[in-house]
Amino acid sequence: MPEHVILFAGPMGAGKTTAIRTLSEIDVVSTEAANTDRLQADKDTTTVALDYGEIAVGLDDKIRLYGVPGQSRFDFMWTILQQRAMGLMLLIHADAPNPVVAVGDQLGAFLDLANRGGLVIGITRSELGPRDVVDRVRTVASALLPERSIPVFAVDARDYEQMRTMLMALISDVEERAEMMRASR
Amino acid sequence: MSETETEVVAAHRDPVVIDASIRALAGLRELLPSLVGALLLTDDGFEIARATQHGGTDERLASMASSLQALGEAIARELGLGDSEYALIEAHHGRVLLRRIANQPIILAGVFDDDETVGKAISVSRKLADELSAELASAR
Ligand SMILES: Nc1nc2c(ncn2[C@@H]2O[C@H](COP(=O)(O)OP(=O)(O)O)[C@@H](O)[C@H]2O)c(=O)[nH]1
Ligand SMILES: [Mg+2]
Repeated sequence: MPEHVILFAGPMGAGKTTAIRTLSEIDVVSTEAANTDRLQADKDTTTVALDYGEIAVGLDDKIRLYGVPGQSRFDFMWTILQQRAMGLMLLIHADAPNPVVAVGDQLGAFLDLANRGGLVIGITRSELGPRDVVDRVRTVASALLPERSIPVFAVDARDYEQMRTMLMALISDVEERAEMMRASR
Repeated sequence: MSETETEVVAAHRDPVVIDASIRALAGLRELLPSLVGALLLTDDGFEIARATQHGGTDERLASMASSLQALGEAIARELGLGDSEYALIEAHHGRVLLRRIANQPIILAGVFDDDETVGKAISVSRKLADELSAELASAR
């Protein structure tokens, strides 16, 4: 398996930073700043450049995990980090003002990556939001990308086993996608 | 809410911080006529005050400066080098200098044209940062 670069995207407060900290085997490189925008997300800090973590695979291969800032004022980081990525882990918190709209916005912003690479969607904080969020997100995701079957998970970004299962689903989608791209060439 | 609990006001909405920031940037302009633009911003990328020569600063400078400052501090931390003092970008037609206001969640971003010497940009921005830091510390 070659080295994989995975991008964690999603709105502010979705759990991108938490998920990378949960999964990474190295001390995460983080760029948290004091959060002054408590209306967007009521938390102490927010990511202003990136998160970076790693998972070793076999003897000398790695999965590199990059997280972006959620706020669109940092969208230049989305462009930069999207370029090298091969898979998109899209996280949406169930208690977001409108999770379904957020999925559409995020898939729009990361469409380039979603089209050429692997894609999974994780609904975080699901115990804090409406019950039907996963179903509604599944519906909108398959309407937006009808040719794909996109796995949608309910996950807790703090839970290692859940995040690991979701990441492995993404890695196999990345490999399937790469295989398809090669075959169509 | 208890009586002693005080609402923390974000720096970019705090009149005391905004007023001090505007005055500090005006002083910077006087010392450095070749300043293209300067911004004071919160750690999380919100503009507090700006001084521009001719619309020279992009409105995304605040977000970009916040990202770059955080990356610079992350690298210094990673290498065990302690606090980073300033970050400097040298381009063909000018330079950008980023500097933390000590003990405040505030960053200075200065854009200078290529007539300015590096030494002057560094020393004048340090003076601004020191004075603003002292003023805000005594205002609290
Ligand atoms: N209750 C609950 N909290 C969660 C869950 N997943 C993540 N969180 C919390 O939600 C917050 C997400 O913040 P953060 O990781 O900074 O989000 P980011 O802006 O996407 O990086 C953290 O406080 C997490 O502990 C979940 O499934 N349930
Ligand atoms: Mg984050």
